[in-house]
Amino acid sequence: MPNYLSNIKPSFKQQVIDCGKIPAYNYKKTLNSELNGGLVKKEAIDLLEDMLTIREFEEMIVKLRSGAYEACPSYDYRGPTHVSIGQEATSVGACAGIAPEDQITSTHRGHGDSIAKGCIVIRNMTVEQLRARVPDCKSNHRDELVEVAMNDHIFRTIAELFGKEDGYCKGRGGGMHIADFTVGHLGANAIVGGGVPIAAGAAMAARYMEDKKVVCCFAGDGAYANGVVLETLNWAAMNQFTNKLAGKHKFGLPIIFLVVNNHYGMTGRAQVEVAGVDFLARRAAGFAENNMHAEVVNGMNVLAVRDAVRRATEGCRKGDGPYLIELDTYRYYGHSLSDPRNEYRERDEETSWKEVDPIDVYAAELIKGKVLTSKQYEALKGHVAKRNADAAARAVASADPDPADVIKYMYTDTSADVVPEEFTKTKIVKEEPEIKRKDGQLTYKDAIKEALLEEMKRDSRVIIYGEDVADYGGAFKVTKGLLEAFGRQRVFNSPISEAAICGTAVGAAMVGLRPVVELMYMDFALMASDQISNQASKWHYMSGAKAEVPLVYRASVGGGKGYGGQHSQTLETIFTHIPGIYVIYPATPYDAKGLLKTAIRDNNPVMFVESQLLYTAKGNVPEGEYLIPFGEADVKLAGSDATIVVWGPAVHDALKAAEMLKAEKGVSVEVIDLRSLVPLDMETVVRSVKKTGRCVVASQCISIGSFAGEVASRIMEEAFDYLDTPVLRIGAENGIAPQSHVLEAAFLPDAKRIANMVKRVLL
Amino acid sequence: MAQAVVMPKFGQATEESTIMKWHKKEGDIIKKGDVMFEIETDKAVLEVESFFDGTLLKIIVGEGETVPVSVTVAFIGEKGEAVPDVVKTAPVSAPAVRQEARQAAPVKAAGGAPAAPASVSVAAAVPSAPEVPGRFFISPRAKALAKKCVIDPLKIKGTGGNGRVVERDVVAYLESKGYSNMKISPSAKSLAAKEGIDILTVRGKGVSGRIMVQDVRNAMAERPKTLSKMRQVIAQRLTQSFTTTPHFYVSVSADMTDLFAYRQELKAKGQVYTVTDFILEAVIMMLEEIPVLNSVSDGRTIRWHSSVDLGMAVALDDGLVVPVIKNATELNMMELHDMAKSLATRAKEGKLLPDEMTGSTFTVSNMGMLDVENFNAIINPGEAGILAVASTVQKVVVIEGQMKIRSMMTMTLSTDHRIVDGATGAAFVNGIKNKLEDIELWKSLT
Repeated sequence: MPNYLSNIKPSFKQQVIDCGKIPAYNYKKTLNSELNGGLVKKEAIDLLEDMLTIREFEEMIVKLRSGAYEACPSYDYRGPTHVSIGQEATSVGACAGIAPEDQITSTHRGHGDSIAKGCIVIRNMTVEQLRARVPDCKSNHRDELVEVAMNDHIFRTIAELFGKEDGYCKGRGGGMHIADFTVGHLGANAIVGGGVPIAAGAAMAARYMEDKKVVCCFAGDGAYANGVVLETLNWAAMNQFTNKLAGKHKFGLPIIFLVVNNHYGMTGRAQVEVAGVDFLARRAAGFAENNMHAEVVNGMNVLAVRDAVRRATEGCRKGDGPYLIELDTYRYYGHSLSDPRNEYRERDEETSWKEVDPIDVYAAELIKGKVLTSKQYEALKGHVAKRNADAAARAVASADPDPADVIKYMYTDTSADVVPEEFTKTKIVKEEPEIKRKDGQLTYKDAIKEALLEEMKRDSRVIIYGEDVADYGGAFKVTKGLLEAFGRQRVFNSPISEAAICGTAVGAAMVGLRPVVELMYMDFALMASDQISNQASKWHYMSGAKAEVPLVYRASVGGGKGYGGQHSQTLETIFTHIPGIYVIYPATPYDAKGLLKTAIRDNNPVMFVESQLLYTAKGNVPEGEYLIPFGEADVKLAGSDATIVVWGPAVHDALKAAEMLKAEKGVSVEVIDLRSLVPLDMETVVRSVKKTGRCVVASQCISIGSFAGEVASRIMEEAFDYLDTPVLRIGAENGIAPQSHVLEAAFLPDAKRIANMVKRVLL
Repeated sequence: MAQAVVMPKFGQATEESTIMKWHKKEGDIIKKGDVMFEIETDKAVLEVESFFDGTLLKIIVGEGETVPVSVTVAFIGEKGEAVPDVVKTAPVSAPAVRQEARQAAPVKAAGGAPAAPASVSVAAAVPSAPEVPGRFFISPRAKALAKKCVIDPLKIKGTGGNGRVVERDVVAYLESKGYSNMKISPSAKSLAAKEGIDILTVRGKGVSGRIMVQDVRNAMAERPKTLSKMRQVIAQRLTQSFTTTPHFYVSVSADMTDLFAYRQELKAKGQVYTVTDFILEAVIMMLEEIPVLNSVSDGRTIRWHSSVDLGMAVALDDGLVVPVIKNATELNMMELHDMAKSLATRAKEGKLLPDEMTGSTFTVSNMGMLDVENFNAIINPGEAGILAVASTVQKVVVIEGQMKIRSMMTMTLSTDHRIVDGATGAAFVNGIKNKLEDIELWKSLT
C-alpha cells in the first residue's frame, strides 16, 4: 500500500486522556515457582555463576588499579574503570531473558552485559559451534568445550580491556566499546545514549528481514534525559510500523528498552535532581499509546529481571514491541574509581542496597532451596575466580597490537559487489518512477533518483528513509516515485529526528541492511553529529573490523537560495575531519549517479553531499549500470597555465572562470573536480600542479579551516618545488550565509571571483 | 646549576669573535685555568681559559662559528646536569644584525631538554648574495629550474608578485644567455651543481666551446674567497683613511753611512740595536718637537695627544699588524729596543694582546729590508701621519763638491693636509734626517 492520503477531520470533543497505569515491582514468583515453571536447576545455577563471574571480573579491575590482583600484581592497567558492581542481576537476568540469537547494545558500564551475553550464548552453542569457537580444543565432551570457550570469552574480554591484539576488538575499542557480533553483542557505547538509536536500527532491520530477532537495549537512567534517546523512543513506537500503513506486515519494532536505573548519571541523581519523575518508566507513556508495556522491576533480583525480559521478548516476537522496562538497581562504586562517592551520597544508602545484594540474596535462596550446597557455592566462587585469573594472566602475556597498525581498520576495503541470492528478489509494488531522459540527458536530481532506483532493484537490503521522502518524494522531489515502486517497507517517512535518522541507520547497517537516509539540509547533520561522527564513522575501527557500517547519508546543501544561516551551509569539511567516513560531492548528473551507486555498494559509511543549486542541472547520463570509483578526481578541463582544484557547484563557476580567462588573457586553465574528498586523489592534483606550477583551490565552503586548506597544504607538501606562486583558496566569505539575495551573491564565490583569484596566482 | 661560558670580550672594540678550535669536547673534565678553546678576533688568535671546574656539558658554538661577545658558547656543570635551552644566536654577517644579536637574551627559560645543535653548519647557511639588497624572492618552481640548469638565480630579475623570480623569468634569462645552445659535459654539469658554480660563468674550452670538468675546476679556482678577518680590518681601515684624509707626501734622503758605522761599533761592544731603533727614537724626538704630527683631526676639531704612543708596522705572512709602543718618550734606547723587539716577535707569533694593537698616535712603517727605493704609506685612522722608511742604498752623492759613495735612506712622510702644511712636514722629516746623521746625539743616547 504505497500512497496514503490523510483525511483527519477536526474533533474537539471533550475528553480525558488516559495515560494508563505502569506496574512496579509486580514480580510475585519465588525460586520454587520458577523451578516448577520451567527454570531448570542448571540454569538457576548458571545465573549465579554468571553474576559471580561479573562481580569477580570487576573486582579484578579495582584490584588491578592498586596492584592487589594476585594473578598479575605488577600489571599497569591503563583505561577506564566504570565498574557495575551491584548491577549484576540486570546484565544476567536480561541476557537470560532473551534468546541466544537475540541482540544487545550496551553502555560504557557494560562489562557485565558483555560477559553475560557471551556466557549465555556459549552455553547454548552446539558442539559444532563450540568447535568453531575454540578450534584448538580437541575435546569431544560438550562440557569441556563449553568451559574452554568460557575461558576464551573471559580472556578476550580482559585482553580487550588491556588493549591487546587478542581482545574482542583487537585492542582498538577497549572496555567502553567492547563488541562481539558473533554472540549478538552490537557494542557498548561510551556516548551516553549513543547506542540507543543503534539498537532501534537493528530492531528495524529485524522487523524488515522478519528474522524474529529481538534487540535488548541497555542504557542507564542518565541516557533517558538525552535527546537521541527520546527521539528513538518516539521512533520505535511510530504508528506506521503497526497501523494500516504497514500493510500486511503490522509488526512493532522488536526492541526492549532496558532502563538500567542505578540512580546516578555520573553523579547526577535522576530521582531527586535531574529528572522530574520518580520512575523513568513514565517516559514510555509519552511515546506510545500502550506505554510500551512499561513496568518497573526490582533490578537486584535476577529472576525478576529475567522474568520481565522474557515476557517482553515474547511480546516483541509477536510484533507487540517496543517494550520498556525500568530496572531499579544500584551502583556500589562511584562513576569510576576516581570517584569516592562521599560528595553526593551517604554510606548508609550503600549499606542498605548491599543488604539486597543480587548475588548474596540469590545464593542464599539457592542454598535454602537445596539447589546448591554451601560447599558447592564456595567451589563455584573458586572456579570463577580461577578462570578469571587464568584469563587475566594470559591476557597480560598476550601480544600488543603492532604500532605500525595504528590506523589499520579505519576503513573496510569490502563492498557489495555481489548481492546474496536472497536479497536479489526485489519486487516492484506498483510502478517504477519514470526517469525522463532527453537526448541522453538527465537532471542531477533524476540521476540520483535513477541510481537509487537501480540499486534498490538490485539489492533488497537497500532501504530509504528520511523526512518527507515517501509520499511527498522529499523536499526536493529526489525520491519521488520510490515509495510507489518499492512500498513503505523500503521507503518511509521519518519524524523530524535527525539524530535518530542517522543513528538508526548505523544499527540497521551493522546487522545487514544498506540504508540510504536523507538529511533534508546539510545543516541538520549537526543535529546528528554524534551518530555520524562517533557512531557510523568509528564502529568499524573500534570493533577491530568486526562491524561494517554500509550506509549513505545523503545531505543536501541549500546555499545560493537565500535561506540564511541555518539552511545554506556547505559543511563537507567537518566530515573530512572525521576518520572512518567517506565524503563525496558530485558536481554533475553523470558523477552523481555513478558515485551514488558506488556509495550504496561500499561497505563504509558515506557522506554523500548534494547541492540544491545543481538539482536541475542537466548532463549526459548513460542508462543502466556504471560505477565511478571513489578517490578518482576528474579533469573537467585540461590546461597548462594554472590549475583550479574544485568540487561541488563551484566546479561550474571554475569552468566559467576558465573560459573567461581564456577569452580575456589567453590563459589555459586546468579544472580538476575532486568529486571525492575522502578518499582524496592527490595524484591527479599533483600531476596537474607539476605541470602548471600555479593553483587555486575553490569550493563553496568558507575558507576558515576548510578542506581547501588541507588540499593546499598537501600540494605544498607534495609539489612544493613545482610551485611558481603560493597556492590560494577561494570559498565563500568567512562568515555566515545571509538571507539577502544581494548579500548572498557577495557571500558565495562566483566565476568572476574565481577568475580573479586565478589572476593572482598568474602574477 | 650549569654555568654558561660566554664569548669573551678581549679588546675594547671587539664586538664578535670566531671559535677557531675547541681543545675540549663535551663530557671532558675541565679544571679552572684549562684552555678550552681558541678564538680569532679581528686582530689576533687567543686562547680562552676556563673560570670554572666541572664537566663540559654542551658546546653551543662550534668551530668556525662567529658570534657576538657575551653570547653563551658552552655550559660547564655537574656531569649529567641538564643545561638550559639556548636559542642559538644567529651568526653575524652585518653590524645591524650584530647589535640585535647582542641584545637578544641568549638563554631561554631554564629546564627542559637542551636544544639539539643545528646539523647544518651555520656558517654555510649564510647567504652569499651581497649584490641583492634585502630579501630575494624566488618561487620554488623557478628555484628548482635554476638548480636543474646549474645557474645562479640571484642574477635573474623577478617579474612575479613581490618581485619574485618565477619560472618565466628563468626561462627568459636562459634564452637571453643562449643556454639552449651551450654544450656542457654531464660530469662538468654535475660538478658545477655540487660546487655551486653558475655554469653561465664558466668559459668552455672544449671542442666548439663545450664546457668540460677542467673548465669548472678553473671557475672554482677563480671564485672569490672571503678575506681573513685581519685583511678585512686592514681593508676597512685603510679605505676609510685614504678616502677621508687628504694625504700629502714629503720625502727626504738621510745619509746613514756614519750611523751604520757607529751601529757596528756598538755591536762590537755588545750593544745590539737595529736600524729601526734609531729611526723610532728620531721620530719620537721629533714628535715631541712638532706635536701637531702627534695629534688627530676629524676635519672640524683637532685633538692633541699628551703621550707619544708609537705604532710600528710589522709585516706578517698574511697581512700586517701595528703593535704600539706606549709612552714611547719615557723609554731609553735600550728599553725602546727591547719593547720593539718583543712586540715584533709576538706580532709574528700572533700573540699580541688586543690592547697592544690599539691606540697608536703616529706610525712608522719600515720596509728597509725589502729593497725598495721609496714608497708612500697610508695614514692609520686616528693619526696625523705615517713615516714610510725605504731601503738604504749606496749612492753617489756630492759632498762639498766631491762625489762620494754614501748609504742613503729615503723616508717619506704621509700626513694629513688638514692640519699639517708643507713647511711643517718638511721640518719634521728634515728633523729626523738631521738626527739620524748626528752621531754625537746617538753617542749621548747609547
